[in-house]
Amino acid sequence: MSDIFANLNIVAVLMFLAFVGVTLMITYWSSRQIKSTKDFYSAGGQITGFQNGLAIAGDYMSAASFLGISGLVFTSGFDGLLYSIGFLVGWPIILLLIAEPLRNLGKYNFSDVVSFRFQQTPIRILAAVGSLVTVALYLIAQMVGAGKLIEVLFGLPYTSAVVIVGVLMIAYVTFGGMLATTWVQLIKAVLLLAGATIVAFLVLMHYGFSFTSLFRHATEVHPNGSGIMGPGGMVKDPISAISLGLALMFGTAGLPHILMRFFTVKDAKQANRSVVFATGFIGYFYILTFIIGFGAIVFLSGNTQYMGEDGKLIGGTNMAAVQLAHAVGGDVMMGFISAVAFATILAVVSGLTLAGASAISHDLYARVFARGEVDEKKEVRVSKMATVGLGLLAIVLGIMFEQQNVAFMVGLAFAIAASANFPVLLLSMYWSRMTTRGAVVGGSLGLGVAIVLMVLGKTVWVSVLGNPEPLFPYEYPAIFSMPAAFIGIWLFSVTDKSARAKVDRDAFAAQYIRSQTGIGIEEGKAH
Amino acid sequence: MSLTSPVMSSEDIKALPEYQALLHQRRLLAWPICVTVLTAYYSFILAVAYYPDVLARPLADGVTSVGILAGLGLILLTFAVTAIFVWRTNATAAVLLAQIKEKAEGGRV
Repeated sequence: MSDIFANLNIVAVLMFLAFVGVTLMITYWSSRQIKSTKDFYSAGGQITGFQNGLAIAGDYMSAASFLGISGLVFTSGFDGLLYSIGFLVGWPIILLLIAEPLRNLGKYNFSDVVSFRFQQTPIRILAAVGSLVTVALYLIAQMVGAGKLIEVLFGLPYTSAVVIVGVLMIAYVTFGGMLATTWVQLIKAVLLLAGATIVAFLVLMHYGFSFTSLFRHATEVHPNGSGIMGPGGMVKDPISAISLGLALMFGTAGLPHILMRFFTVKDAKQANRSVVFATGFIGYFYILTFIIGFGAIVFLSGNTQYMGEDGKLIGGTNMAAVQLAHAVGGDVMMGFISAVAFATILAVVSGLTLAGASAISHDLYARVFARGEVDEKKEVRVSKMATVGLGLLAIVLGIMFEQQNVAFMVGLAFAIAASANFPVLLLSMYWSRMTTRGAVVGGSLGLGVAIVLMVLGKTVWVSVLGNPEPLFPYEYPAIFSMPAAFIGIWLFSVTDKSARAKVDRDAFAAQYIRSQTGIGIEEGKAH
Repeated sequence: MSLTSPVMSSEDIKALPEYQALLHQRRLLAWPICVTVLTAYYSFILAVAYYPDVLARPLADGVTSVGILAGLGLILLTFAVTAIFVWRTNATAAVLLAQIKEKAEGGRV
């Protein structure tokens, strides 16, 4: 461990403890507000569009994207933009196609929407499985990232770091539900935006706020020279490029913990507003990470305080943003950024766990196991038990998967969200002839094809399983698994002549009107 | 779920001119935005795959590349279209929506 990290612990630890103290107080306050399932899953629908937009942005500004993307810009320049843009361009699609119908049709999670007119049991199981797989992969990625990060920043052993994250997250979600989870996310989003703004500001100030000077200096000191200003080696062939683009763009619209946030606002209008705020904050944040990445190139390259003798960044490329904070703002700034990165992980895993817990309690327990015959208190209790279970599972998986590539797990989560959750959600809202059978077969196909292709691809088949050649030549499966889902849904719906198919189709007209107008939504509010 | 509103059937609501106007307006706004975003993004992705040299070409200042400008442009475009959509929707669709709800729920048909 280098000296910079060792000296810093005190500032970072104090700031982090302050964050934990405040958020636990909020959790205590939230726990006294929770009286119903609506309070627990969706914060009672009392979050404003602005707050929700910030919270959604917070879910996006995970440690993986803050540290990962700035690290990627640090190593390869322009290529870092590809991920940022991919993550962002999904938002207009969500706004135009998904946000309003989602809010008008559902109560707590996207399973409510896809099962609106279909047979409850099979669709709830499908949606819950899709949610849980996505959440689990994302959760593993965040836990592994958290463990590594805290190991470097605070000098804590990997296992204890993972356990601390798991325990705090269980506390937030179990006692505070969505209200506490949202506030933790809000506080963290403000801190992270503030921290990143200051670092980017200090970098730009050094260059008299001239991007040209910053870029020119970066191309002079970076080993790839002016190569960092254009596409590098990240995307090798057109198929992979489009496939990655599809997964990033449409994966967003299938992430259960993001979709769940649309139920925390009062109505469809606020849901729409939250997308504008979210897009603004996320876009701003990605521009900051880009500046930070370039700042890291100019401030850290060749500086022996930050670079090891092997020419690599001390602590790994993911530490670019943290090291840069030290270079431009000293120990205090680095402590602040470290504490915020830790807080970020806590906030994101809490949202994920809540989404997973709702799939278990609201879908599998209340709708499938108890067939809707369940009182609210019991559902909330099951949800809390599920949270504890998922938290413990996340700790175990985090420890088991310590050596996994974090970016790959996130990519997989997005590919599955785009292939399993998104097609079923989109078509259930807009395609009148879709049936239960089509949804189940198509959704399962999307999920199955995505997983199989990922296993046969280079990362798992060659790197993990040790085979010489990948059976699937591309890195990202979405270009095949998304069509598989859409074609599956189409084929098994149009050929469906069952009695249930007629019920499914007949219910579309009323569902569509409600999705467009919100008429009929009041019955859901009455309690 | 089968009953959309207490006083009007699905068919009645569907037949309302305000409802048709609402759908028409949404499509009028949503389609161009959808096409713009998809075209812009996939042109960018395809340029990365097929024409990396074009993106790497420097602009007038000699350093900043076409690709970086295009990337930042895409980020701004994304924000701009969401803001325009919501601003337009809140201005016009809200009025129609209120009229539809009044008829459907107030039963004044």
